[in-house]
Amino acid sequence: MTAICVANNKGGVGKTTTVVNLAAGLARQGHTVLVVDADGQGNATYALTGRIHPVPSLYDVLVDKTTIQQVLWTTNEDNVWLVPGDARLQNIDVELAARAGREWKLAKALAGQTFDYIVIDTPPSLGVLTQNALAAAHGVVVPISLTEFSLIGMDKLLATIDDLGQELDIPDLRLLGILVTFFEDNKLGRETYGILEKKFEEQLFATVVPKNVKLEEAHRRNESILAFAPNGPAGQAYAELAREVKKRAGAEQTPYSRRRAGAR
Amino acid sequence: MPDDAAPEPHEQHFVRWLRALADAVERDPALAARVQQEAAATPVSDEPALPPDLATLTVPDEPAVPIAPAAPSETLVETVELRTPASEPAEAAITPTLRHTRRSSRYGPPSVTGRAADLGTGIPDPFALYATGGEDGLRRALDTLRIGSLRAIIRAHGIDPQGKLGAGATEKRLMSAIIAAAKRASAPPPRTPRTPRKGTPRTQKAEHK
Repeated sequence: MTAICVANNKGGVGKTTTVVNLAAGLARQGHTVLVVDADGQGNATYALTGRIHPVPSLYDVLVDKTTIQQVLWTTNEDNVWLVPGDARLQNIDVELAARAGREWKLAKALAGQTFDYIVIDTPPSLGVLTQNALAAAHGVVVPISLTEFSLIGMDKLLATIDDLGQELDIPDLRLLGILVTFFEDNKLGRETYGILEKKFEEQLFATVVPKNVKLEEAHRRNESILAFAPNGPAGQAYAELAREVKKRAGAEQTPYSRRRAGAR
Repeated sequence: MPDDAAPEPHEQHFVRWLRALADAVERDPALAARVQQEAAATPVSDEPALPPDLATLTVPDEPAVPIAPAAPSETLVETVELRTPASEPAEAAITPTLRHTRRSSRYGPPSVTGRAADLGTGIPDPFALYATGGEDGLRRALDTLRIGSLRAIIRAHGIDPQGKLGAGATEKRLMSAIIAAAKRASAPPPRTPRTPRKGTPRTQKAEHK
């Protein structure tokens, strides 16, 4: 089992789009995939099921004694299951503030799951939900849109992820790659991509997700891009990303029981 | 309230109050459970009267007014209002719908308002929905879903084993197929007509008499 966290504290960079379509891409390669919607906006839940803020959800897993099995949903994608997220997650920082081991709650809850891949969507912040996601993950995918503001925050974000990894004592947490999303093939887009390529070199995924209206249409239909327009540029990009992530993530990862989560 | 009449101020206030209550219920599962209990215990009258003085009502910890006529449900808090244009009539605001309401040729994002039908968890089960709500109930539930979810229902419940519904099937067609399948499944098995035995027709009996 490999857990992948899709994180960036900047909003609107395509985290949820990447989660939904990466999960669909992995599922179409014959893997079982669990999507964990750790974003209080619940957009991954909506994209995969058409439901908005269902209860119970991940909130109940993190705050109460609800198990993952009790909130496991089938989704519109074959081979993709979901732990839904709801609006109550937005206040979870406060709820968990005084609890010991609050960063490890998700990792503990996911221990023993037998999915081939777990893909975790995170909110645009580095709060307790993102910390839980990082603590539960073996690798991080960082989507980035090619805007000036995204580039400015990138160094800081990678340093923060690194710090969190050390702070939470997760030695095997690693950056799987930086994914360029919403790429526009014009002079500015190519220039900005050039800067990123120079700076991050092999940390960049070879796959680049183009800006494509079909992605938004797919969300509206509550389908993945691989169900809606598999042969379009965005569909092909996410199919390729799934292959690349699989390659970079490697084979079986350290089970949670051997990580610090299990030791607590 | 007649469809064409503008809502009265006290009705608008009641709707606002209900929305506030729904928000509070959504945030607090314990309150949701209490409201559900209260709704189940309260007899539903044919003509629910509005509370006497709506102006003094606030969202209480314990609901002070009966939550009639809503049917008790397992997931009272499934859907929240995401966006309700201020100009929209109050009645439309509480109508469960996920549809894109087309008022003009200009693009408008879908309004997600009111409570969706109780679809359960995961891929909805149209047969169970038909059993509990009949054709209308199932239709209302399906109406809140988009094409991806309708396709998932068809796939998960084996409604189109021969693959007649191609990639180009519209939402309407998918819905019809689901409803037809639910109807077929709930219909009693056809009775096999008895074949009359030779030599004992009714006419012979009559002749003996």
